[in-house]
Amino acid sequence: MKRRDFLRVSALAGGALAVGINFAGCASARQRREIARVAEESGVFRPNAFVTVRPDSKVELLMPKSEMGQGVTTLHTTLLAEELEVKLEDVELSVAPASQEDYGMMITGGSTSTPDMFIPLRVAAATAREMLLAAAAASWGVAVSDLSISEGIISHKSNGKSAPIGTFAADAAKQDVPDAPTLKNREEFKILGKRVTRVDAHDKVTGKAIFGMDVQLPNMLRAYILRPPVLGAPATRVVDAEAKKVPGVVKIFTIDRGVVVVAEKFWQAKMAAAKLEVTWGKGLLDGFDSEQLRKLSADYSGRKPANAPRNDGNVKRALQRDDVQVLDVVYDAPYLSHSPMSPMNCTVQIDKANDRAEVWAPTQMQVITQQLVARIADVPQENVKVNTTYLGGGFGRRGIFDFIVESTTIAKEFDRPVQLIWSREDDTKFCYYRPQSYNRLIGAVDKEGKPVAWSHHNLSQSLIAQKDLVSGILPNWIPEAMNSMLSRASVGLFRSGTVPAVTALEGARDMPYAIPNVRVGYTPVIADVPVLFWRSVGHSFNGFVVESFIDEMAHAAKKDPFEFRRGLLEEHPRQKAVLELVAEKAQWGKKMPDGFGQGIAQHHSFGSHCAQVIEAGLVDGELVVKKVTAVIDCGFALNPDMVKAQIEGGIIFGLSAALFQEITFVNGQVQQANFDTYRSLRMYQSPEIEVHILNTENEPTGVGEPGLPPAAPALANAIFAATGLRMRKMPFKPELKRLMAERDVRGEQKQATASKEAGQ
Amino acid sequence: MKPVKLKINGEVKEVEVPEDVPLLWVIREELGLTGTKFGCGKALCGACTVHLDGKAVRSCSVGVGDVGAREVTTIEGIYEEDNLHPVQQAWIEENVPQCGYCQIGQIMSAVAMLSKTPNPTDEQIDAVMSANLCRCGTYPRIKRAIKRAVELSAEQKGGK
Repeated sequence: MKRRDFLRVSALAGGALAVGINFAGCASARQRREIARVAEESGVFRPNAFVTVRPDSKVELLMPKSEMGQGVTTLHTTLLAEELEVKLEDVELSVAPASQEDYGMMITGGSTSTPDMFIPLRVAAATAREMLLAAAAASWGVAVSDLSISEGIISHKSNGKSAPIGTFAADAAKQDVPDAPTLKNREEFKILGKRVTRVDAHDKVTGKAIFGMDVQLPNMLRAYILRPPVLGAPATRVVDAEAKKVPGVVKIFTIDRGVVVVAEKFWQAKMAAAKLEVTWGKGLLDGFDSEQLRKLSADYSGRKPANAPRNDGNVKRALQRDDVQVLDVVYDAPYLSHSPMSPMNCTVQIDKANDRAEVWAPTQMQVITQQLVARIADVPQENVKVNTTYLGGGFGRRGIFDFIVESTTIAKEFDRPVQLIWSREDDTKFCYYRPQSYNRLIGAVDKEGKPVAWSHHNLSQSLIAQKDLVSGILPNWIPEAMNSMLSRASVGLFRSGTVPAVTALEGARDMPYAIPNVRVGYTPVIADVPVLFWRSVGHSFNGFVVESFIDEMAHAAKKDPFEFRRGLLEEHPRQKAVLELVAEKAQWGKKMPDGFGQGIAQHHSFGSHCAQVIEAGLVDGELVVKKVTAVIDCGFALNPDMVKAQIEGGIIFGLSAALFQEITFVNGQVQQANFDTYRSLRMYQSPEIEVHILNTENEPTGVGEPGLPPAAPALANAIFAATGLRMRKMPFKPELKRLMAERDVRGEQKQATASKEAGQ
Repeated sequence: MKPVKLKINGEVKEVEVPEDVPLLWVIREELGLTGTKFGCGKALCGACTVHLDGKAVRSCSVGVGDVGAREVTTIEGIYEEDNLHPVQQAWIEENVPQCGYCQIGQIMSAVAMLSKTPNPTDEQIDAVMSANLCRCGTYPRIKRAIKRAVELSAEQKGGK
C-alpha cells in the first residue's frame, strides 16, 4: 500500500499542525482511486491516514503521538468517537508508524498533543462520517439529510431503516471526498467536555500495558552499558576476563558511551558488568563544577546581557530616581533530571540481509527515531519500522535520542534483537538536564507603592545551541553547535552572539505585569552539560523567578500580594480571571494557623493560564505543604477530570523540584544517583490539591505543563508569609534550613550583644 | 547450578539461575511476567512490588534463593480476566494511572495493605503507600482509589 497517496495533515517541524488545509480540500481523482483501491483489497474504508472503518463497524485510529501519561490515547479516542458518532469502545487506537509524509515529524511535547489535533482529527472523522452517510443514502435511495448517525448506527428518520456503519465501508470508499466536512458545534458534543474514564486504564492496572522494557522478542539479547564516571570519558583499558566467565554473556565491547555487555538476560549482563575492570580517560566534563558555574554567573550578571529582547521605557533612568526603593536580588535554579519512573531503554533488530531494521522505542519523536536508526544501521529510512510502546514517563526526557543511538549501535553487532536497559543511577547521571539558571532581578517601587522598573537578566545554557555530545545523537534540524572554539575561561563561558533566547526567556520576556520600564535580557552560558526540555521548559524557572520577585515588590510596596498583582493585570484579563478565582476559592487572606502562611502565584504557559494558592508552614521546624488550590483556564476543557489530573501532576512534579531536587557536578561527576539522593515527593509529603477549571469558549490549550510553573513560587511566597524568609534558591528544603540557621545565629548574636549591654 | 523452585501465582516453577539473582529479573526474564516493573534496583521506588505470602516486598532487592517456600504473587495473579480486583476497579474509576509505570507496584502495595487493614486511616495509607514513588503525581487519586476500593470490597461482600 502506498501510504503517500492518502490525504494527510501537513505538519511543521515543530510539531505544529497546519490545521486541516491539506486535509480534505484537495481530494484528487488519484486519491479517490487510492481510497477505493484499499477498500477493494482489504475491505476497509480508509479515507485518510488516521481513520479506518472496518466492515465489522470497528474503527481503527492511528495516533501520531506518544502516550506518556498525559492521556492522549483517551483524548484522541474521544475526539474521533465524538465526530464520527461511534461508541468509545468501538475505537481501536494504536500509535501510528513513523511516517513523515502522513503525520509530519511526529513530536510529542509542548503540551500540544491534544490541542493540535482538536480540529484535524475531527476533520478526519467528519470526512469518514459524511462519506459513510453518502454511501448509506445511495444504497437506500434516500436523501442524506434524512439520515443520522449515532453510536455507530446509521438510521433513516422515518422509514425505519438502520444499519451499522461497517455495512457501508466498501461503498463509502467510492464516494466523493467532501471538500469541507461539517464539524459538530460544541453544543452538540456528547462526550467532549465530559469526564471519560481513561481508555488505557485497564491495561495499566492489569500489567498488560507494554512499556519499552516489556517488549519480548524471540531470541532477544539484553545489553547494559558500564558508563564512565564523567560523561564522554573513553574506556582506555578494559579487563574483561572475569566478566566473560559469567554464564550467558555473549559479547563485551566498547562504544563511545562506555563498555557494552551483551548477554542472554539482563541480570547476566549486569552481573558481568560488575566484574569489569575499566580505566577511563579524560571526560568531556572533566573539571566542570556547577557551583563554580554559579559563581562565574554571579560575576557576569552585572554586565550587559548578550541579548535583550525586551526593553520597554528606560530601566536605567528609573532605577536612578532618588524617590524609589530598589530591590536587587538573585534567583537560582539548579540542573534537574527528569527521572521518569522507567529508566531509559530501547529494543532494536537489524536485518542486514534484507536491509531492514525495526525498533521498539518509548520515544516522544518517531520520525527522528526512524532517521537515526536508518543512518546508524545503514538501511533506507522507509525500511525502518518504528513501534512506539507506552512511555514510563516522559517529561521531555524521551524527546532525545541517546538511548536509541546506543541501542542501534549495539544491535549492529548482532543478527538478533537487542534490548538495552539503563540502570536508575545512569538515568540520573547521564540525563540531558533542565539547565541551571542564574537570574539577577532588579526592581524599583515608588513612594506610592507603584512598581516603576523591572530588570531580569537570565544566564543559562541554551537548549537550542547545544553541542552534539555524541556523534549522531542530535538530528539534522538542530543547528550545528557553534561553540567549538570557546575556552573555559570565565568570560569564554558566556556567549556574546545571538544564541536564540526563546526557551531561556519564555515566561520571563512576556512578564505580564504593567510596569513602565522593563528590561529582560539573556546571556547564554556555554558548558558541555547536555541540556533538554524538562516539563514546562523555561517556564519551570522563569515562573519561579517572575512570580517570586513580583511578590517581593508587593511586600516592598507594602501591598497585599494578590491585590498588587491584580492591579497590574488589566491588559491580561485571562490571567486576572484565574488569579481572582483562585483567591476566592482558596479564601485568600483567611486566618492561618500559627507558623503557616498563604502564597499566591499565576503563570501563563502553553496557551493556558494557571493560578495557585499554597498553604505551607513549619511543624516542629520542618516545612509542611498543606494545601494547593489551583485554577486552570485551558480554553474548552475536553475532559475535565483529565485536565485536573494533569494539573495535580504538574503541581506535584513542580513541588518535588522546588523542595528537594538538584543535580550538581563536582569535577564533572554528577553527585546524585538514585531516588534517595535525587528525591521526589512521596505520598505523605503530598499536599491536598483542589483544582478548579475556569471553562471558557477559547480553543483548547495545553494542560500537561501549565500546572507546574506556579507551584514553586506559590510555595516560596507561602514560606515567606509563614517565616519571613525569602526562597531565592532552589531547592527550598536546604535553603530554608540554611536561612533559619543564619537567622538563629543572628538572633543569638543579638541576644549576646543585648545581654552584654544589659550586663554593663 | 541447582534449579530454584518457585511457587508463583498458584503454580510451581523451576528456574536455573544463581540464588542471588533478584526475584524481579527472574519474574520478568525467566518467567516472562512483565507486569512487575524495574524502577530503581534499590528498593527505593516500589515499582517492583510483589507479595511473598501476601506481604508486600520489593522484588528488585530479594534474591530468588531467599524466597524459599513462600508463595510469590505478582499483578498477574491477583485478578481474573472478567473479574478485576476491587483495587484495580477503583483505580480505573478514579482515573488514577497516568504513565502507569508505577501503578502495578502501587496496586500491589495497596492490595497487601487492605488484606491486613481493610479500612485504613489516612495516616495508615500514607505510612504504607509512601514506599511507592510516582513521578506523574497521582497520589491524591491513589488515596481516593484506596477508599473507593474499601467501599467496593464491602459492596461485593454484602452482595454475596
